[in-house]
Amino acid sequence: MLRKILISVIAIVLVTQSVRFEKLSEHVKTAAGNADYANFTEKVKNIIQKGVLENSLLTEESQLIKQLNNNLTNAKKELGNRLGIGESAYFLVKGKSTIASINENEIQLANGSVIDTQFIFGNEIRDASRMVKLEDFKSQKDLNALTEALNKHVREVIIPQEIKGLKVGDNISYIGACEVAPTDIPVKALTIYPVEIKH
Amino acid sequence: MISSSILKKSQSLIALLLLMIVLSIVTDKFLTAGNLWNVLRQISVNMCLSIGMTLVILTAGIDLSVGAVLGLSGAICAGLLKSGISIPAMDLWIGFTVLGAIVAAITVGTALGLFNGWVITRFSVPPFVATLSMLTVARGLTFLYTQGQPISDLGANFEKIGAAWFLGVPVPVWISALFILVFYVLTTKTSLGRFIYAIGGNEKAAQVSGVPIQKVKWIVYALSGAMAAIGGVLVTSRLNSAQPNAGINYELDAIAAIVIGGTSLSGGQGSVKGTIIGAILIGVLNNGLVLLNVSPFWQQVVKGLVILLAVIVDKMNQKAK
Repeated sequence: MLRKILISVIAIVLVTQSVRFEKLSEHVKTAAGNADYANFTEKVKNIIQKGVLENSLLTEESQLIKQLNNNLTNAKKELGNRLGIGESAYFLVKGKSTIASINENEIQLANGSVIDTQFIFGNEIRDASRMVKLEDFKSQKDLNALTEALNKHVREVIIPQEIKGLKVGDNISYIGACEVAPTDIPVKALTIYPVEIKH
Repeated sequence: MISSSILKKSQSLIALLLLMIVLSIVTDKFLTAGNLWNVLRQISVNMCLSIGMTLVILTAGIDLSVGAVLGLSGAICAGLLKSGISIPAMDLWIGFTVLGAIVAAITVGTALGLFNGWVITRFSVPPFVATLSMLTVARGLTFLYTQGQPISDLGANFEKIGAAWFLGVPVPVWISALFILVFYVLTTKTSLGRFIYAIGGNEKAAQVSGVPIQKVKWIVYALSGAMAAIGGVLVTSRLNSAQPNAGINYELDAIAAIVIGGTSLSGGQGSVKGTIIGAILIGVLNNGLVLLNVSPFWQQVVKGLVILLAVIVDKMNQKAK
């Protein structure tokens, strides 16, 4: 009898200390604002404001293209950045143009450049901002978490607001980051990962 | 003068001491506190697997599924901790605490071990074949469950199990020490321990003497599965991530530790004490080969030869008797 009571008590303690129950619909809502994203929100906003919008390296698109085509090595040194190993570099760019076409993935501009509005998954904005340093992170995992939080903020918060109401023929100004590799030279137009689009 | 029987009984311990002396001489990094704690931390997983499997081998069986069960249990522990269980039809989500995820992982490992025992006793399937099948099944289930992707970021509390220190000793070392004690008592001080030796020594005689063969085998395979699951929890916690291919070939290191420790593959002879020495010897050997910059390919060759040597010595000892 005593044995049964003891086993029952242990089982009850184990169950109550092991699991918790929630409504699935409520849990999904909570999980949407996942911890990584929440932890990095301030840092992400800072990178976008100070590292991109207020960065002195922000260069006019036509001027950047000219510098890239004149001397890519110098342009990379003066304006570009890249945290990892590789031939390409990331640059901050601002420009003005007219919308030639829009689809769910991108905005095609009259000057030939493209603003990507869907696939913001890379390191373009992070690296071009020059605000993220490898030594600030304990592990690659933490760096990746910040990168994803930054991209997620751009993808899910900034872009949906900024592209609302845009239509073909609108004149817009834009700020963002782009990647240029030696094989892209001579550069004629850029693919821009935006952090601001103004009508 | 030391008698030859004492020398024979202590041959794995002597081999371990000789290996440690040689490594201390040839590399100044071996005999440092940091490295020795590292060795103990690394062997804690193999220790869990091998003390569990020692019971199986003492009954003249074998459990080839421990590496795969380790992988599956670790993945389930990580999956439950990270995502819980969603039941859309009932609009229900079940979240798991660290304790809950560990209990679930051990339950899964125990159930798979129990299944091994049931197949072996119910259908008279040789343990080698039954557990080889389970190895494949568990490995496949792990890939299905994880979709071939690691499950990472399991939280600081869970990470502590594999990475933290307690009273100056790594937590995994405490955990393996606790189970060593449990299994030592189980094999030397309980009737279950006596039954295990009896079955391995002579199963028919044990049956005639009233030993519940089927029940004992179920228990030893279940314990082996449970220890594999605990190993899975340790590996997952240490990496703070469940890797779908975790535990591949771990069963070989466990068998090596058991055989080197003097447990006979024919059953009935051996001890948890011997397995501990065997596991430490394998760990020190692995560590020494790394410190000496021996290529990983040669490391496999050396380990294989050491196991072969241990089996040959075991056979020679049996013949001498």
